[in-house]
Amino acid sequence: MSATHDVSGPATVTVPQSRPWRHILNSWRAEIGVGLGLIFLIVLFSAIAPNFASSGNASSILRQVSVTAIVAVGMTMVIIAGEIDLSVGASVGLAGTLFALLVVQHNVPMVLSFVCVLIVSAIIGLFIGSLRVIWGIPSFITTIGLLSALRGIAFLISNSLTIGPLPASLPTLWFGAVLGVPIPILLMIAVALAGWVTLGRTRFGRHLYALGGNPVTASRYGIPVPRMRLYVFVIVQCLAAVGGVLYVARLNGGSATVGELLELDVIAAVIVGGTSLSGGVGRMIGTMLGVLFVAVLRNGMVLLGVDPIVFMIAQGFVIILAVWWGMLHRTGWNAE
Amino acid sequence: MTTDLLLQATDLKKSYGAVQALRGVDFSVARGETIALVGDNGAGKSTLVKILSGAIQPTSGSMRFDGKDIAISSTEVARRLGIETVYQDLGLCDNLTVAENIFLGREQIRRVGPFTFLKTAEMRRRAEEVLRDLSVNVPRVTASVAGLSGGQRQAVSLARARLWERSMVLLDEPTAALGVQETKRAMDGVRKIQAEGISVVLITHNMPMVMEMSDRVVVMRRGEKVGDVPTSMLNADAVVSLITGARERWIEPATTPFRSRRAEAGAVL
Repeated sequence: MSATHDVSGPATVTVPQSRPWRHILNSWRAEIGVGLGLIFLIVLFSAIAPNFASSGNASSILRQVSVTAIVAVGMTMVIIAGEIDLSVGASVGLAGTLFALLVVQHNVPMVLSFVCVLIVSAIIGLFIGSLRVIWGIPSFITTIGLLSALRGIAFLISNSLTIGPLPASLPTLWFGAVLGVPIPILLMIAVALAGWVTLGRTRFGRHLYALGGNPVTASRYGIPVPRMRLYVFVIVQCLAAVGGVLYVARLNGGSATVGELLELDVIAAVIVGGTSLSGGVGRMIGTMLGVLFVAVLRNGMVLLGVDPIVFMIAQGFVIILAVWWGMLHRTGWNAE
Repeated sequence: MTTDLLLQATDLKKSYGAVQALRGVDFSVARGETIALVGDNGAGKSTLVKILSGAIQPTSGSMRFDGKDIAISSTEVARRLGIETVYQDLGLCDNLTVAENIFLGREQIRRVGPFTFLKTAEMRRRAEEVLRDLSVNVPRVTASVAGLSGGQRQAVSLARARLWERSMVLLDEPTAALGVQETKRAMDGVRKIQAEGISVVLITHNMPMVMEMSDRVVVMRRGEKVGDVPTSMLNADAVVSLITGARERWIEPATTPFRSRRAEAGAVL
């Protein structure tokens, strides 16, 4: 390094002011993309798929998507923090199985059973977070292990049987409605709103973005980075427990097989909604649009009588397309 | 005034395994004084500044701040003492906006029952104020930092220090990556800090900046303090000879009470 100041670089004084609308449009690019995609799908399926455009079908889509959406709220926070949780599908299965076992075989009151399940889920979240914080084990590795282990535990404690039936009041949680709105949809809206406020309007949310963007800077400015990493896993695991209990209500039974591949639906929705896997970028509204996009795609194809295998292929390419759309903004046409 | 010294560090040592980064350094900063901390790479300047900012702990040595014995055990403690650091890497989160970076870790909040919410508009307004005060041309405080030029990023980092400084600002190579115009702006920003009677510790390789901005020059070489001289007694050649070792050692006894050259010159700003 020279002792005198280097004057070789061009002196940049002012940056041309980009127009505000352009700047806002750019920052909402991913959400606008998936929003337009969703509108396109809705228009398309309304025109060509029988019975797509009906309030019954809309309500059915929203109800079916509720668990994915609830877990996706937590997953958005996890991914914004620069982490990932691949175990949520297995957690949904384990939570449901445990809940059904407690209620059916041990006669534990349902509310208390739910609290027990939440505690177990929080412990799972703390486990993932601790391995990340104490030993620096990537959450990708821990949760890929748990994806298998938690599912195994669910089979073990249930002897691979479906546990049921549950008290008659439980299915109301899935099939009931308040003021005409199905309860799972209300729950989904409540969780999504809470997630939206948390991310955008609270200190916790702001610090999550900072942590995902630059953990070194975040901890220099007093943000409790380790504690926040623990919190996000506890949040997503507890939301998975809520999802698990909702599925028990829907099936009137707990089974270790419930929630298989849910992690893919959830992560797909979050990514399609514009949240960056590298952390620090994403919005709750994008995640909700992503959840709806994937759900409408599936529903429309089912109504059209398309083979579910084709849906699998389509969902895969939609994820790739969404990430490409996001990268295009950052890297232009040629990343290398 | 009982004491003129804001910070007094005695016999600071820091070793990383077998490597001794600091070998017993005495370092003091008077209230309102600007110290240029110079030396070759690896001389121990950054280690010293990191100790003052609470980022690392000395292996041994003692510190007094404002007349009291203290240990700057974390960056949080440093902030509470009113010590702000402008890091060489600027310490910005690229994914956050200008205002969000300025208030990072110190967000203004409003309580609603058991909940707390960010005062977004208030923070934006104050960020705009402090940037205007530094005469910085940043497109919008709601723009992401990722799109800013080097000088603008520097300004955001300096603005953050400006907003929270109470006693001392540590500047690690503030102009290393800047062009001529941007360096001039950054120096103007530092002058505003000085004008408020805040102490400044300035790490820099920029000799004109050392001569123009500082009251005292502290020279480090291989983990030791080899020079500690009022800037008025020095010229750039003398500083360079101390850095390179052509001149072994020059430590002037501290003059008390400290009087700023700028104050004598009749206030620059």
